[in-house]
Amino acid sequence: MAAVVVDLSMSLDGFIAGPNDTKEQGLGTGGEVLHEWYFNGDTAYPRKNSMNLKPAEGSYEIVDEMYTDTGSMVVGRRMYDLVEGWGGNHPIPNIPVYVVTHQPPANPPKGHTPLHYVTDGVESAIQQAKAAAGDKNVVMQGASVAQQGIKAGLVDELLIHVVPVLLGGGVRLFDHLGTQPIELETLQVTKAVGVTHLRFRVVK
Amino acid sequence: MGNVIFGMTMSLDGFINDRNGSVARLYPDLEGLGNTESLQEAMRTTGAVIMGRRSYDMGNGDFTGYEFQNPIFVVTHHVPEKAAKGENENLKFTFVTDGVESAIRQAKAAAAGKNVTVVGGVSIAQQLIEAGLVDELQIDIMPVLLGGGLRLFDQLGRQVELATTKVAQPGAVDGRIELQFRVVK
Repeated sequence: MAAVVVDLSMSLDGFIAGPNDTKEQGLGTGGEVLHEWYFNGDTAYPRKNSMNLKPAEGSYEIVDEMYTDTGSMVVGRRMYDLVEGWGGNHPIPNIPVYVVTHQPPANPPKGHTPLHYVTDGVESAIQQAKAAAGDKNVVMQGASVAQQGIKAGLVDELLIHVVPVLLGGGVRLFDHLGTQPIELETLQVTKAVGVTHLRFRVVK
Repeated sequence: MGNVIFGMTMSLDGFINDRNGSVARLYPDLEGLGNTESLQEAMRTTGAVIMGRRSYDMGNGDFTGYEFQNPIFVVTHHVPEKAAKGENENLKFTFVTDGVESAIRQAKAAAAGKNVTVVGGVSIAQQLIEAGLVDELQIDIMPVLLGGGLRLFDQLGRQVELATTKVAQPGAVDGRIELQFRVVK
């Protein structure tokens, strides 16, 4: 069943990157620890990927699902710029990526990933990404697009990888969500090495 | 030697109450919560309690039957004129006006080898974490985005490495997810 999923690693104090995130340190000061769980296992993830992923037990299924079930992605321009558009080659091969931006880049990177620049907002990006994903999931990454998607009621699931660290500052995931509480239903709680995976359904 | 344990319930977006100051959504089943294994164990292993003035005032002047029957150290600027009801040979209030480090020192002495449990609030937690005086965090997450209120972790002055020691869902209670962490010194 196709779902719109916000999928992000977050510190216990709610940050998806530490302070001072730049192209040189995309996850900010002290933020690299947020993604260690992708690499802290004993065996390499067997499917073709450009990241040398090595998820530990409990995280393997999460990574496998990401590779198997993702049909398209929606990301923010800030994140896109920080990773320099993955050089045109997103780690998950052959999925279209919709970049929400005010202005498309002058010289977009060229690679195997179909990159689409959406200038008329998050809702439009989600709509296009859903159409492209077919019966697979739309994965959303980046704090701002995630917040806009949640606020607009367009997000079906939250897949939050809680990393045991207090970063003390940086890019906050849950902010500017409006004034009404949003109820969630817990679908999954998995303790793995250096991370706890929490999956929620957004109750609509 | 006992540990200093800070415990609190927050929404997934990190708030310990909503924008009206209500904690109702975070504690929908207080009775069920009292019966969870985690709270039962906390009651067994706690030798002294530290709380802030706000938490103390939430008791509305009556701590009769409070879950922690231990010496309670209330961090405050002003000692209340009349101590709350509910004191007995185990539960005794001490009002600490010279800061959280003093409260920790006194609570540790009173705990006599058992744990010191810090039950709030936010500013005490922040001061203790920044001063490196907390050994364990017990954070329960409720499956809701409150969108506003008082944030548990806000503008901490430093980064703190943790290790996850326990993850549990006390099933039938109220949907909370229990996360426990050791503070890596």
